Amino acid sequence: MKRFRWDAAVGLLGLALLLVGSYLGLFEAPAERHMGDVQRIMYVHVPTAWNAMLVLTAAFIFAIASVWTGKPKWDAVMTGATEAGVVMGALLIAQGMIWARPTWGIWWDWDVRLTTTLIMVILYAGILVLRSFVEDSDRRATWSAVAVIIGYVDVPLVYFCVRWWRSLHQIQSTPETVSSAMIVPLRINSFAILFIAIWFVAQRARLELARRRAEEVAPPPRRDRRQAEETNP
Amino acid sequence: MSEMAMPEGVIAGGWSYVLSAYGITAVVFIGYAWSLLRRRAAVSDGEEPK
Repeated sequence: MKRFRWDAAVGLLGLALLLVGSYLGLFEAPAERHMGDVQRIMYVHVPTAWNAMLVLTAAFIFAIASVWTGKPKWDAVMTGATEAGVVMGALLIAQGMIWARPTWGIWWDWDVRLTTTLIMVILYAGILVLRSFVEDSDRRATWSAVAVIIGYVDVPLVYFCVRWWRSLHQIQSTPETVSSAMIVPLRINSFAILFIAIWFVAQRARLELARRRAEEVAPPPRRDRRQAEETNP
Repeated sequence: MSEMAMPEGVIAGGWSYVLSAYGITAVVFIGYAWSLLRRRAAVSDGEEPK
Protein backbone atom coordinates (compact mmCIF):
# COMPACT_ATOMS: atom_id res chain seq x y z
CA MET A 1 0.00 0.00 0.00
CA LYS A 2 1.30 3.47 -0.86
CA ARG A 3 2.43 5.55 2.13
CA PHE A 4 0.33 8.67 2.89
CA ARG A 5 2.31 11.77 1.95
CA TRP A 6 1.30 14.81 4.02
CA ASP A 7 3.13 17.19 1.68
CA ALA A 8 1.25 15.85 -1.35
CA ALA A 9 -2.06 16.44 0.48
CA VAL A 10 -0.98 19.99 1.42
CA GLY A 11 0.12 20.71 -2.17
CA LEU A 12 -3.14 19.44 -3.65
CA LEU A 13 -5.13 21.47 -1.11
CA GLY A 14 -3.11 24.52 -2.14
CA LEU A 15 -3.81 23.88 -5.82
CA ALA A 16 -7.56 23.46 -5.19
CA LEU A 17 -7.70 26.65 -3.10
CA LEU A 18 -5.75 28.56 -5.77
CA LEU A 19 -8.32 27.56 -8.39
CA VAL A 20 -11.21 28.65 -6.13
CA GLY A 21 -9.53 31.90 -5.02
CA SER A 22 -8.52 32.82 -8.57
CA TYR A 23 -12.04 32.16 -9.87
CA LEU A 24 -13.49 34.43 -7.15
CA GLY A 25 -10.83 37.07 -7.82
CA LEU A 26 -11.30 37.02 -11.58
CA PHE A 27 -15.09 36.68 -11.87
CA GLU A 28 -16.84 37.38 -8.56
CA ALA A 29 -14.93 40.20 -6.84
CA PRO A 30 -15.87 43.74 -7.90
CA ALA A 31 -13.61 45.83 -10.13
CA GLU A 32 -11.63 48.46 -8.23
CA ARG A 33 -12.88 52.07 -8.43
CA HIS A 34 -9.83 53.55 -10.19
CA MET A 35 -7.82 50.60 -11.52
CA GLY A 36 -10.82 48.70 -12.87
CA ASP A 37 -10.20 45.05 -13.78
CA VAL A 38 -6.40 45.44 -13.70
CA GLN A 39 -6.60 45.38 -9.90
CA ARG A 40 -7.52 41.66 -10.08
CA ILE A 41 -3.78 41.02 -10.38
CA MET A 42 -3.73 41.76 -6.62
CA TYR A 43 -5.22 38.31 -5.86
CA VAL A 44 -2.05 36.58 -7.03
CA HIS A 45 0.52 39.37 -6.58
CA VAL A 46 -0.06 40.14 -2.89
CA PRO A 47 -0.25 36.46 -1.74
CA THR A 48 2.95 35.76 -3.72
CA ALA A 49 4.65 38.70 -1.97
CA TRP A 50 3.54 37.64 1.52
CA ASN A 51 4.56 34.04 0.99
CA ALA A 52 7.91 34.87 -0.67
CA MET A 53 8.84 36.86 2.45
CA LEU A 54 7.40 34.16 4.70
CA VAL A 55 9.47 31.33 3.16
CA LEU A 56 12.60 33.49 3.29
CA THR A 57 11.86 34.15 6.97
CA ALA A 58 11.57 30.37 7.41
CA ALA A 59 14.92 30.00 5.59
CA PHE A 60 16.45 32.46 8.09
CA ILE A 61 15.12 30.39 11.04
CA PHE A 62 16.28 27.10 9.44
CA ALA A 63 19.70 28.67 8.80
CA ILE A 64 20.06 29.51 12.51
CA ALA A 65 19.00 25.93 13.37
CA SER A 66 21.52 24.58 10.84
CA VAL A 67 24.42 26.59 12.27
CA TRP A 68 23.33 25.79 15.85
CA THR A 69 22.87 22.02 15.48
CA GLY A 70 24.87 21.13 12.35
CA LYS A 71 22.11 18.64 11.40
CA PRO A 72 21.67 17.99 7.63
CA LYS A 73 17.87 18.20 7.88
CA TRP A 74 18.03 21.92 8.77
CA ASP A 75 20.39 22.57 5.87
CA ALA A 76 17.99 20.72 3.57
CA VAL A 77 14.89 22.69 4.61
CA MET A 78 16.88 25.94 4.54
CA THR A 79 17.89 25.19 0.94
CA GLY A 80 14.27 24.33 0.10
CA ALA A 81 12.95 27.56 1.61
CA THR A 82 15.68 29.66 -0.05
CA GLU A 83 15.02 28.21 -3.51
CA ALA A 84 11.23 28.52 -3.11
CA GLY A 85 11.78 32.13 -1.96
CA VAL A 86 13.85 32.91 -5.06
CA VAL A 87 11.28 31.38 -7.40
CA MET A 88 8.41 33.22 -5.72
CA GLY A 89 10.41 36.45 -5.55
CA ALA A 90 11.15 36.31 -9.28
CA LEU A 91 7.47 35.60 -9.95
CA LEU A 92 6.52 38.52 -7.70
CA ILE A 93 8.68 40.90 -9.75
CA ALA A 94 7.18 39.61 -13.02
CA GLN A 95 3.60 40.03 -11.71
CA GLY A 96 4.48 43.51 -10.40
CA MET A 97 5.88 44.58 -13.78
CA ILE A 98 2.71 43.40 -15.52
CA TRP A 99 0.62 45.39 -13.01
CA ALA A 100 2.88 48.46 -13.24
CA ARG A 101 2.54 48.88 -17.01
CA PRO A 102 -1.18 49.79 -17.14
CA THR A 103 -1.26 51.63 -13.76
CA TRP A 104 2.07 53.51 -13.66
CA GLY A 105 2.66 53.58 -17.42
CA ILE A 106 6.06 51.87 -17.06
CA TRP A 107 7.28 48.29 -16.70
CA TRP A 108 9.98 49.11 -14.16
CA ASP A 109 11.15 51.93 -11.91
CA TRP A 110 14.15 52.07 -9.56
CA ASP A 111 11.72 52.70 -6.75
CA VAL A 112 12.76 51.60 -3.25
CA ARG A 113 10.25 48.69 -3.03
CA LEU A 114 11.10 47.32 -6.47
CA THR A 115 14.84 47.76 -5.95
CA THR A 116 14.97 46.08 -2.52
CA THR A 117 12.87 43.19 -3.91
CA LEU A 118 15.24 42.76 -6.86
CA ILE A 119 18.23 42.83 -4.48
CA MET A 120 16.51 40.17 -2.33
CA VAL A 121 16.02 37.83 -5.30
CA ILE A 122 19.55 38.34 -6.70
CA LEU A 123 21.10 37.91 -3.25
CA TYR A 124 19.37 34.61 -2.46
CA ALA A 125 19.87 33.32 -6.02
CA GLY A 126 23.57 34.12 -5.58
CA ILE A 127 23.66 32.06 -2.38
CA LEU A 128 22.18 29.08 -4.26
CA VAL A 129 24.74 29.47 -7.07
CA LEU A 130 27.69 29.78 -4.67
CA ARG A 131 26.39 26.79 -2.72
CA SER A 132 26.65 24.62 -5.83
CA PHE A 133 30.41 25.31 -6.03
CA VAL A 134 31.21 23.95 -2.53
CA GLU A 135 31.88 20.20 -2.61
CA ASP A 136 32.21 19.51 1.13
CA SER A 137 28.67 19.12 2.46
CA ASP A 138 29.41 20.38 6.00
CA ARG A 139 31.22 23.49 4.76
CA ARG A 140 28.48 24.07 2.20
CA ALA A 141 25.84 23.93 4.95
CA THR A 142 27.71 26.34 7.25
CA TRP A 143 28.64 28.91 4.59
CA SER A 144 25.22 29.01 3.00
CA ALA A 145 23.48 29.24 6.40
CA VAL A 146 25.66 32.22 7.38
CA ALA A 147 24.95 33.85 3.99
CA VAL A 148 21.20 33.29 4.39
CA ILE A 149 21.30 34.86 7.89
CA ILE A 150 23.23 37.92 6.63
CA GLY A 151 21.06 38.22 3.50
CA TYR A 152 17.90 38.30 5.61
CA VAL A 153 18.67 41.95 6.45
CA ASP A 154 16.99 42.85 3.13
CA VAL A 155 13.68 41.04 3.79
CA PRO A 156 12.27 43.42 6.48
CA LEU A 157 13.53 46.27 4.30
CA VAL A 158 11.36 45.02 1.42
CA TYR A 159 8.30 44.99 3.70
CA PHE A 160 8.78 48.26 5.58
CA CYS A 161 10.48 50.43 2.93
CA VAL A 162 7.14 51.79 1.64
CA ARG A 163 6.41 53.10 5.16
CA TRP A 164 9.89 54.47 5.80
CA TRP A 165 10.57 56.18 2.47
CA ARG A 166 8.57 57.83 -0.30
CA SER A 167 7.71 55.15 -2.84
CA LEU A 168 5.81 54.84 -6.10
CA HIS A 169 4.55 51.51 -4.76
CA GLN A 170 1.48 51.79 -2.56
CA ILE A 171 1.61 51.17 1.18
CA GLN A 172 0.22 47.84 2.52
CA SER A 173 -3.57 47.56 2.43
CA THR A 174 -5.50 46.37 5.49
CA PRO A 175 -8.98 44.79 5.81
CA GLU A 176 -10.19 48.29 6.80
CA THR A 177 -9.00 49.78 3.49
CA VAL A 178 -10.19 46.97 1.19
CA SER A 179 -13.76 46.01 0.28
CA SER A 180 -14.96 42.87 2.08
CA ALA A 181 -15.74 41.28 -1.32
CA MET A 182 -12.03 41.54 -2.14
CA ILE A 183 -10.81 40.09 1.16
CA VAL A 184 -12.21 36.55 0.61
CA PRO A 185 -10.32 35.73 -2.65
CA LEU A 186 -7.22 37.46 -1.26
CA ARG A 187 -7.26 35.29 1.87
CA ILE A 188 -8.05 32.07 -0.04
CA ASN A 189 -5.15 32.67 -2.44
CA SER A 190 -2.85 33.58 0.45
CA PHE A 191 -3.45 30.18 2.08
CA ALA A 192 -3.34 28.48 -1.34
CA ILE A 193 0.10 29.85 -2.16
CA LEU A 194 1.27 29.16 1.40
CA PHE A 195 0.32 25.46 1.01
CA ILE A 196 1.96 25.30 -2.43
CA ALA A 197 5.09 26.91 -0.98
CA ILE A 198 5.15 24.29 1.81
CA TRP A 199 5.01 21.59 -0.88
CA PHE A 200 7.89 23.27 -2.77
CA VAL A 201 10.02 23.47 0.39
CA ALA A 202 9.29 19.85 1.36
CA GLN A 203 10.13 18.55 -2.14
CA ARG A 204 13.33 20.59 -2.39
CA ALA A 205 14.39 19.49 1.12
CA ARG A 206 13.87 15.82 0.19
CA LEU A 207 15.92 16.40 -2.97
CA GLU A 208 18.73 17.98 -0.94
CA LEU A 209 18.78 15.07 1.53
CA ALA A 210 18.81 12.57 -1.35
CA ARG A 211 21.72 14.45 -2.99
CA ARG A 212 23.65 14.46 0.28
CA ARG A 213 23.14 10.71 0.68
CA ALA A 214 24.23 10.15 -2.92
CA GLU A 215 27.40 12.19 -2.23
CA GLU A 216 28.16 10.11 0.87
CA VAL A 217 27.93 6.78 -0.98
CA ALA A 218 29.58 7.99 -4.21
CA PRO A 219 33.25 7.05 -4.86
CA PRO A 220 35.78 9.84 -4.17
CA PRO A 221 36.89 12.04 -7.11
CA ARG A 222 39.56 10.53 -9.43
CA ARG A 223 42.40 12.65 -7.99
CA ASP A 224 41.67 11.47 -4.43
CA ARG A 225 41.38 7.88 -5.65
CA ARG A 226 44.85 8.06 -7.26
CA GLN A 227 46.30 9.50 -4.04
CA ALA A 228 44.68 6.68 -2.06
CA GLU A 229 46.15 4.07 -4.45
CA GLU A 230 49.61 5.61 -4.12
CA THR A 231 49.35 5.52 -0.31
CA ASN A 232 47.91 1.96 -0.16
CA PRO A 233 49.04 0.09 -3.30
CA MET B 1 -8.94 69.96 -7.80
CA SER B 2 -7.65 70.08 -4.19
CA GLU B 3 -4.19 68.70 -3.38
CA MET B 4 -5.55 65.49 -1.79
CA ALA B 5 -8.28 64.81 -4.33
CA MET B 6 -8.07 61.57 -6.30
CA PRO B 7 -8.08 61.84 -10.09
CA GLU B 8 -11.30 60.83 -11.80
CA GLY B 9 -11.60 57.97 -14.26
CA VAL B 10 -11.00 54.25 -14.43
CA ILE B 11 -8.35 52.30 -16.35
CA ALA B 12 -10.28 50.80 -19.24
CA GLY B 13 -9.77 47.20 -20.30
CA GLY B 14 -6.69 45.62 -18.84
CA TRP B 15 -7.83 42.00 -19.07
CA SER B 16 -4.77 41.13 -21.17
CA TYR B 17 -2.55 42.22 -18.24
CA VAL B 18 -4.69 40.31 -15.75
CA LEU B 19 -4.55 37.12 -17.81
CA SER B 20 -0.80 37.57 -18.33
CA ALA B 21 -0.23 37.83 -14.55
CA TYR B 22 -2.34 34.73 -13.81
CA GLY B 23 -0.76 32.89 -16.75
CA ILE B 24 2.81 33.58 -15.63
CA THR B 25 1.86 32.47 -12.11
CA ALA B 26 0.57 29.15 -13.46
CA VAL B 27 3.61 28.66 -15.71
CA VAL B 28 6.09 29.35 -12.86
CA PHE B 29 4.30 27.11 -10.34
CA ILE B 30 3.84 24.22 -12.77
CA GLY B 31 7.36 24.63 -14.17
CA TYR B 32 9.01 24.68 -10.75
CA ALA B 33 6.93 21.72 -9.52
CA TRP B 34 7.92 19.75 -12.64
CA SER B 35 11.59 20.69 -12.14
CA LEU B 36 11.50 19.50 -8.51
CA LEU B 37 9.93 16.15 -9.41
CA ARG B 38 12.34 15.62 -12.32
CA ARG B 39 15.43 16.46 -10.24
CA ARG B 40 14.29 14.18 -7.41
CA ALA B 41 13.70 11.32 -9.83
CA ALA B 42 17.17 11.86 -11.33
CA VAL B 43 18.93 11.83 -7.93
CA SER B 44 17.07 9.07 -6.17
CA ASP B 45 16.98 6.85 -9.31
CA GLY B 46 13.80 5.18 -8.19
CA GLU B 47 14.74 5.00 -4.51
CA GLU B 48 12.33 6.91 -2.23
CA PRO B 49 14.25 9.40 -0.08
CA LYS B 50 13.15 9.34 3.55
